[in-house]
Amino acid sequence: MCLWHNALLRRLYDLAYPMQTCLDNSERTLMRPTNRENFSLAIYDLFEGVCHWRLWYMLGLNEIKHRYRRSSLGPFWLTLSVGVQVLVMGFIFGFLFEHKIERFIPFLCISLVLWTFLSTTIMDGSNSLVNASSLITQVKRPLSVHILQAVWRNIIILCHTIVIFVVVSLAFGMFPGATWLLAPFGFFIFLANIAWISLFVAILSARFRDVPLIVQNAFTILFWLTPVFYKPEQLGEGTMADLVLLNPLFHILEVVRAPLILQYPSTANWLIAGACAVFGWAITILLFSRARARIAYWV
Amino acid sequence: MHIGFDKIMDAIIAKNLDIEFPIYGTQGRSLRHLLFLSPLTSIPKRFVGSKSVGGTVKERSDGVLAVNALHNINLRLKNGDRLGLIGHNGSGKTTLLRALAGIYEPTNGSLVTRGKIMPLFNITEGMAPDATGRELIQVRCVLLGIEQADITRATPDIIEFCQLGDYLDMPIRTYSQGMLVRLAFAITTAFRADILLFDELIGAGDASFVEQAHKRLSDFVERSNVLVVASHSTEIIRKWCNRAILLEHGELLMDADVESVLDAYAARVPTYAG
Repeated sequence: MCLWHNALLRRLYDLAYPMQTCLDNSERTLMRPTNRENFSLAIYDLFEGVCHWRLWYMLGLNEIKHRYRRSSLGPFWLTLSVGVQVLVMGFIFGFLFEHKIERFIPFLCISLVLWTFLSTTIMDGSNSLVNASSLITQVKRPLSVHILQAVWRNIIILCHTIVIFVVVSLAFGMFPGATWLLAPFGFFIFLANIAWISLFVAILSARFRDVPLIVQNAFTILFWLTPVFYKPEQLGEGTMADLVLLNPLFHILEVVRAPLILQYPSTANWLIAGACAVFGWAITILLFSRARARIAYWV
Repeated sequence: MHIGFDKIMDAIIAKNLDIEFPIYGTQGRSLRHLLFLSPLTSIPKRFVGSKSVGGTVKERSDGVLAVNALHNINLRLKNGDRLGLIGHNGSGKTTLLRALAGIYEPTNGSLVTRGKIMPLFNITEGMAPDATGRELIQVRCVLLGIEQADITRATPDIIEFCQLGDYLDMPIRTYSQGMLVRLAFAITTAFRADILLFDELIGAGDASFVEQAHKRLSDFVERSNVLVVASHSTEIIRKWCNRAILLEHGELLMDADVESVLDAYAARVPTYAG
């Protein structure tokens, strides 16, 4: 842990446990916290989780390594499966919608890659606390570690699947342009949103075991309701097109997708995606404040 | 805190510690029940007040059933204390260890701990069965929050103590329970800690392991550490501990020297049978 981490954690710890002035390897008092303490403890847990990056970095990497240890292609199976999916869907939808294939396939490819990342991270996230129950009940670690681990594991997978997009766009003559410079900012907002949704559903899932199933079903439907493999313009001018624009997932997706297919995200995209991240985190932190101390009892 | 914490001597002070588990059984935890059925109708009332093996079952004010896994525990451990936890299955030994580790935050009362806490827990948790012993050492050390430099420094010592030899490069699914305990113990005791918490798992080691472990622990305790062991093995308790408490249905019945507590436990065993 670097120094500024330590200084920051110490400050947060002071807020969380006003009676003490030391970190966890020193004196600790546990009793039923007040609401304010619960809030600081939740923030403390989140920061401590980030500072324990070695833990989730390693656990996430190990999981991928062991999952593919005995297969010949290893994680490139993921690349292959996305590749096949894109080709098949690309030709069928390209034919149905009478698109220009050379524009449509890169668009479809990046959409599927990002959507798969978004939906699997949130689904993994919803199970992350419940699946880690044995760890949670055996050693005291920040709970946010488990969500970060799920997000990180899916980022590793994303690094494998994004290869397909690069190959496909080059193959169809779509070379990187200036808009790509916006992609990192878009990705940051995209990731911030995914992280809070994951934490939010993870907490709910620990208490209510139906939540992972609800999330799973919701994403099957959302795949069709969100402009993933079509564009909102294609819905025409009617109410349908307006309704689709109300879906925040579209804007969250668009801020990273548009730059990669050489378009500029609209101001509305940026604002709505950013606002979702801010409000989402606010609500999630409030929920986490209330639930954090009880999660070990629930899992 | 105004409970007179002695900065030099006290390592753990529990005051009126309560740990209460809500039971959302197969029915209670689903949304269906929360939304459509009154929680009161779904409670099997016959459980209330039951004291079969575990803690006392009671009904919370919001209508949810709760097990009082620990009730009104008052405990003060000072440096050098080696405490044995004795009690029937479900008496609250593991819950107490977890509460001391900070995992279950008190439902009521307070708990003060001072110093770095090292739990000895089921070592294979969070590991793929294909992982090797060496990987396990690495992951577990990181899990315990140990810096990489310290891990590298301590690894030869861990390898030497656990005596697993070439097995360290084999997948952990080929290990026996006893081998895992050796490894877990070696890792947990390889680093400086102030409070060691051992679950019953430790009983899986063979006689030579218990002997070796005892030697290693003596070094630890000399450096004024606190040890808390839950075990059904009277041999381990006799050998390792200088103090014991007797737990029954989540309540602390007796806090005295090892022999008197073991005697009291032996005398109470017939009452658990019926």
